[in-house]
Amino acid sequence: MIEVRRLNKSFGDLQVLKDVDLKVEKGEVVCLIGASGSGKSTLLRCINFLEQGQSGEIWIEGRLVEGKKDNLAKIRQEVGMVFQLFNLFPHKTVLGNVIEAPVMVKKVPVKQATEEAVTLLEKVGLADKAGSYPSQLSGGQKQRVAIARALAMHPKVMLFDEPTSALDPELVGEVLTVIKQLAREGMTMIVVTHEMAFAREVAEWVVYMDEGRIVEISKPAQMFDEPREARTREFLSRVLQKTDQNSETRSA
Amino acid sequence: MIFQKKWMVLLLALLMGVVLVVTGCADDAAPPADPGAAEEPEVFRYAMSGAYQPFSYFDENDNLVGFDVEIGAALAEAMGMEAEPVPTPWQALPMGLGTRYEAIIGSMTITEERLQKFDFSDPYYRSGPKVFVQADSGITSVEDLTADSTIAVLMESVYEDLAAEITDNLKFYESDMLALRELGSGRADAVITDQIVGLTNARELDLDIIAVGDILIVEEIGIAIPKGNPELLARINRALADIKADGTYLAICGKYVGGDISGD
Amino acid sequence: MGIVEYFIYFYGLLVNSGPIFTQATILTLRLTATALLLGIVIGLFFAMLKISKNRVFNCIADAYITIIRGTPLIVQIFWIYFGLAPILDIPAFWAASLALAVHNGAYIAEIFRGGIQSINRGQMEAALSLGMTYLLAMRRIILPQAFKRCIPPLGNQFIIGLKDSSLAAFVTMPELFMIAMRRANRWPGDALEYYTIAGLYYLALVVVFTFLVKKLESRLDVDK
Ligand SMILES: Nc1ncnc2c1ncn2[C@@H]1O[C@H](COP(=O)(O)OP(=O)(O)OP(=O)(O)O)[C@@H](O)[C@H]1O
Ligand SMILES: [Mg+2]
Repeated sequence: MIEVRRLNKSFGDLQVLKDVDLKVEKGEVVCLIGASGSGKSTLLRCINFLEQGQSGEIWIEGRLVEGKKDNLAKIRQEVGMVFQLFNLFPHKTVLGNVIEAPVMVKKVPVKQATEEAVTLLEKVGLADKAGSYPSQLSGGQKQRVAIARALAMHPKVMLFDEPTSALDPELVGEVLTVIKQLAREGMTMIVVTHEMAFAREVAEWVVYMDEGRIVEISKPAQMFDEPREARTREFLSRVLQKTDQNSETRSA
Repeated sequence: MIFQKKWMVLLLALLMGVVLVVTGCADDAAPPADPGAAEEPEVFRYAMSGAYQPFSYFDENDNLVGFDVEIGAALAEAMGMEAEPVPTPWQALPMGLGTRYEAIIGSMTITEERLQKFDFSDPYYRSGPKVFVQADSGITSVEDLTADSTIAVLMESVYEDLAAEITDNLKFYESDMLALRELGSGRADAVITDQIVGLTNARELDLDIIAVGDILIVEEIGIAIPKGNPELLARINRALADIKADGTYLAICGKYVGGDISGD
Repeated sequence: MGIVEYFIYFYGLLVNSGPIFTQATILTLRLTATALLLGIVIGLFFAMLKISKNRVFNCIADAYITIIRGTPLIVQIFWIYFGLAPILDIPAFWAASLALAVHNGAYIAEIFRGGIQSINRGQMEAALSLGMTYLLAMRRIILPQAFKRCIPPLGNQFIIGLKDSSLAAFVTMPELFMIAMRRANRWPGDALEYYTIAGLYYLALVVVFTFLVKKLESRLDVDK
């Protein structure tokens, strides 16, 4: 479905991705974890060519995507992306956000696009917000609209970049529920997340990245219970400790 | 990048379109250059400042009128052309010559300096200081003035020196108009001032005064045309002679200045 | 003349010159509207060049903006009207409009550039990730948002453009300032009054325009 081969990416002197290899099969959910600055976002952004690597290959559906030469817009239609900060279009209503790309890019008639959009909004639990503007929504609602917007293009893959990091803790659940639902429906997904419980629950594979390299790819059970790499263990103990502290302060 | 370029090309095309529209409009408005349409009279465009009474100015109804304007119209008619006066700020007059208009009929004095930049027609009027006296004073020439005569002049003007050659009895005024008023009411025997300024004020103020004798220092005012067009120059000079001969010139003088200023 | 008499006198001049100044106002508005519409096209074009990643495009935009902002408008007007006359013999109206457009275009380019760059990068990325082309994303997502932010500075620029159109007088356009000049030349004693009257017309136009911009702004704010 998606294959990344020996991808290297630098910003000036800073090498952010180092010989990254990653393979995601159809219907798989892959969770990307790792410390801040380890290159997770950059990897996602390279997959749909918001960034371009200096070397390496990206294969989508068995086709090598050649950056400039290929029609990136066409390829991006197949790869939906959900951002940490939602990036909804503030000058358009919720409905307007969802039908924008189908109508303008795929030339779907407005009526049909609207019907589909309403179905999608029902699916993410926001049918009643169709006429609202993004500024009138909570963070969790915004992110669910962003998911519906990406789904409206019928992508074959969905990329999530920390979809819940910008949310208040009590809003995280509603977004994760929607993503889990997608996972159950068999959507191929790559999810960058700090929600370890979520990763454990939905991921086929968990990928741990550190300083631009993929350190370990394991099944969730192995990754979280007996990671093969020392660095992974170190990272996880740090993260899980912090999560414990958080839940302690929350319950206190 | 590819898409950015597309965007640029689109905008560039839009810009080109606008330029085309602009120049297209220009073609509509410009005089027909088609030599086939010979029955349309050629246009004679001539420029003046429009801010120099009584030679060129805008009247109550915002119509461009004045001596220069009508001379241009008369010349155009004599040349069998259609007159189109182009009012242009004084400082900018030389810039448009040859492109925006064929001639400057703008009360431009012929000077050595200007002769290096343009060609000038024969003078179409002359100016310079003249002696003005009361109409019934019996004075008919400059020689009739004596050392006893009182002459009124504009303060610190070049006319002061001219007057001082005739008499020591000088009276100074802040404007030509005041000096001429004094003359009209008999408190001075003569005024020395520019002939046209004198004639115009006499008319406007309804003074019973006349100019006597010749211009004391002559300034010749000509029609400027681009250098190296003897054909046009000859044509204009011929037309100028024609309108002088048939009385048109004098009529225009009478209308705007109140006396012959050809200086011939 | 007492104050009351003077006022009546001034009022008389104002009324009598009304028809001519009204005509002149129409010309002033035509000049300004043409110049600013063209200026928006020019401004948008150079804003695009300026934000593009192509060095050559950047340089072209920089050169244009530097030259235009670094030289007086009157020089540009004369340059187009007199200087270009041998190759581009366009009527005074178009010469003046074009000069004003080219001049305002430089400032509008900067306004648009600022507006576009003030839009979060995430907006373009979200649009691209949905399969939109750069062109489409610009048109549908970035420019509508940027344009809204550009309205206050654009309104400001339009007011400047309106007042700057008075310089068209120097290439024979009988707009407001020209009419005042002509009247002041014809009746030097009333010069002060005629320049005041012209000023009042400009002031009225600016006040009305400011009001319209405010209204537009608040209307567009509703859905924000
Ligand atoms: N456009 C850019 N220009 C320069 N450096 C960048 C750019 N984008 C990212 N970086 C750098 O690349 C490195 C990796 O960034 P990236 O956003 O991929 O990390 P991340 O793993 O997503 O971190 P986080 O968990 O904080 O989101 C960081 O050091 C970051 O500062
Ligand atoms: Mg990140």
